[in-house]
Amino acid sequence: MDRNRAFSPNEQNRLRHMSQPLIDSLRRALAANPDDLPLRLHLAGLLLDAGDRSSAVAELATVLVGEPGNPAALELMGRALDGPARQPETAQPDAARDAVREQPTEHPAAPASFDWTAAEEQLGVDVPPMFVGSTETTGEPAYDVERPVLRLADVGGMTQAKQRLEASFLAPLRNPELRRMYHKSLRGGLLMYGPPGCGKTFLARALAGELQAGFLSVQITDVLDPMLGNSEHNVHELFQAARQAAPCVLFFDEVDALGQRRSQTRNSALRGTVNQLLTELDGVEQDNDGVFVLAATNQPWDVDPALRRPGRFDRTVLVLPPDEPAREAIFRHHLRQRPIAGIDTTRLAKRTDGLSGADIAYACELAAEQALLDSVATGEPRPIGMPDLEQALAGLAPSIGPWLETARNLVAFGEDDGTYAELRKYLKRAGRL
Amino acid sequence: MTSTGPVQLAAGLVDTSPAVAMRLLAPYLASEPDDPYALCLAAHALIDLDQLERSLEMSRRAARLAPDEDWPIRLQASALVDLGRTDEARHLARLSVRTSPGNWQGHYLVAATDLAAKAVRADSMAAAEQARRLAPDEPAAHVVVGQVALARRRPRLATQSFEQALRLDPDDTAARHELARAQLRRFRLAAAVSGFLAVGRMDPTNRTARTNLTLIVARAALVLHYTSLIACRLSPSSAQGSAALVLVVLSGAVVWLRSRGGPALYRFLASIPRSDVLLTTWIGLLLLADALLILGGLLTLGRPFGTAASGELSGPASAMIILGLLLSWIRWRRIRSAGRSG
Repeated sequence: MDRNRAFSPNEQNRLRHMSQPLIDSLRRALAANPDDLPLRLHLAGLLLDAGDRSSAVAELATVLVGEPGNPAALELMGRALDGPARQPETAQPDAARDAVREQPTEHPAAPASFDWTAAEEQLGVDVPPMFVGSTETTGEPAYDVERPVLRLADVGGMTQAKQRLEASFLAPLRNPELRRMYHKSLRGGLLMYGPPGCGKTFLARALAGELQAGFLSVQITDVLDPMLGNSEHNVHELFQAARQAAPCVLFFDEVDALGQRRSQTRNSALRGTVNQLLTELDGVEQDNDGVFVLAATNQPWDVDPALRRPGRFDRTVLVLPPDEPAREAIFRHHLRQRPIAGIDTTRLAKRTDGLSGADIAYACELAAEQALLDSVATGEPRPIGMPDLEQALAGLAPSIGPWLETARNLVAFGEDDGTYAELRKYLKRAGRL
Repeated sequence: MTSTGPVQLAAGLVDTSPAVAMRLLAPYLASEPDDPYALCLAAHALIDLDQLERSLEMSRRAARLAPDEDWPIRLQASALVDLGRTDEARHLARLSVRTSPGNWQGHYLVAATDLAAKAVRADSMAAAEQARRLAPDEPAAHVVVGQVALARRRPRLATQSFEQALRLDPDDTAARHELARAQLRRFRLAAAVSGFLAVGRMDPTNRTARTNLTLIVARAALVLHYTSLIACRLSPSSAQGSAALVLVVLSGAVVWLRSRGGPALYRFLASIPRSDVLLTTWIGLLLLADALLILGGLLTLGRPFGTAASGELSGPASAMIILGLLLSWIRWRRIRSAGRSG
């Protein structure tokens, strides 16, 4: 078979249908034996013939990781990247995703092939699709991959959480040689848990920035769909979008809502979604290389234990209320664009132990409100001063109290299997256990 | 009442993730403010989020829009119970039964509001029984029968009802908690402790289980204290005998703790000194006083209390007992008011 030949869309489709069973069986064989490079090379060739260049590139990349000088793989890779579906090296994630979606229609300007688009334009008709699948009725969710510029160094304080992220995530990633030597896998995700309003999402964004990866933040409302099967489809699409935009941090916020204990929910849509999430995390059907899955929750006790098994969210980081340097940074951040005078952030940070970032933000808001009201009353604008902030803080109770109460029960009554060792240590230190 | 799109999604999430359900409902209600079904869902979610006044507002609006529906009425009653307005809640619970007599939840609510108002009567039991008859497969219906039975001092019937609820759903923490309370009422201390520990393990958000465990510890401390006092009083001429009796009771308590409570109970006990200073102080004072009395008895080598060395120690011991009992009375009241039901 002449692999250099460019196929028309019709030929492409025919080929795709012909080779699909073979491709599927090869994929199954590779799932059983992922180290079989000749087989993977063969699959890449078939994929290229079938016009699925992005999958072919992914397979070839895996072959070249195992055998960097493999001439056949290099040749195929050259062909795969040389085609019209080739994407620029610095392609923006959105563009990359769109390209993948539109790949079958936006095809090579093959000199000998018939220009269907021009013909349709000439006819002036909008030809509807012959068959409408379920995916077309639901509509594709638009997932925006952002590129955060934030770095971990920009996160004030939180030394412990940052150290933990460094140890469990960044160090293995930055040292590929050592990683290979110790056979340290990058599989699996990381679960951040802690009281609400303490910066879990902020930290995840900073981690993405640190990795110079894309950042795809997912809320439960982005995933759930009342139509049967659509939620599962959305989960799959999310992972696909992250794979396409790799390296990419896929961040599940409030994962307790999405991945809640299946025993707790009677909602079959949620059960199916958890199952799909597990499948995608395991990466059985697709390779998750370059996809870093992070999740955050205020209620780790509600997360399905299956999600915590090795290879899934097996690493945990406790994100505690901000320490003193972090509190100082938070005060500075929330006051930086407001008129202030004589603010001693060090003193404020010292007296706000136990407050969450959200509490501090609220205190700043209250202080600003007070200064504004005074300005209205006197008719003369005045800056926010220490008395405003002190007054605001005086009437503010830490919002994390109920969370700590529950955390204490969790540690006191739960199995001591090491899952919450960090939390136990913190509660003991804080005199709550 | 019908459901579509985000409302249908919210309906699936309202029990387990009320905050997410509200996020879905808020924009929908902004565009469709007169959808009674969505209003009811929002009212339900807001009760779980402890925003009771807002919940009440939503359910009242829903009741105005759908006067033939009993759900908005039940939601109003639930919010009112949590607000402490139990008389209004009881009235609405009965109204919901009149609106929809075939719905077990209305009968359930009648019993539940009576329980909340501490006004359990024969018709409360009849309502609970009717709820159970209408929904024999619903654990909550069995739980409410048990709760009413417990309030009417029928702990055996209560135990049977809670056990039936647990047969239907072994993960029902409310049934397990109430079963532990019933066991406590029947002086089955070991079973009660295991039950409360299990509730704490299954649902760390349940604070009442912890309070009830504290109540048991407080009671155990009092039992130990009175045992030692009685032992000293009964055998004043043989302090060694009193000491031996107290030691036997203490050893028994330790063996029992090991066999029934396991590490979780140890961890719980270890956390009390930090989490409950008042309780720790009075238990400590009483037990120290007992130790002093026994030591005094031992020092007299067989002579009665109130003489020689025992007399010197009984003064501070008595002071400690008085102070300890005073503190225990203060703390006891707080525990009892917090730990009644789960």
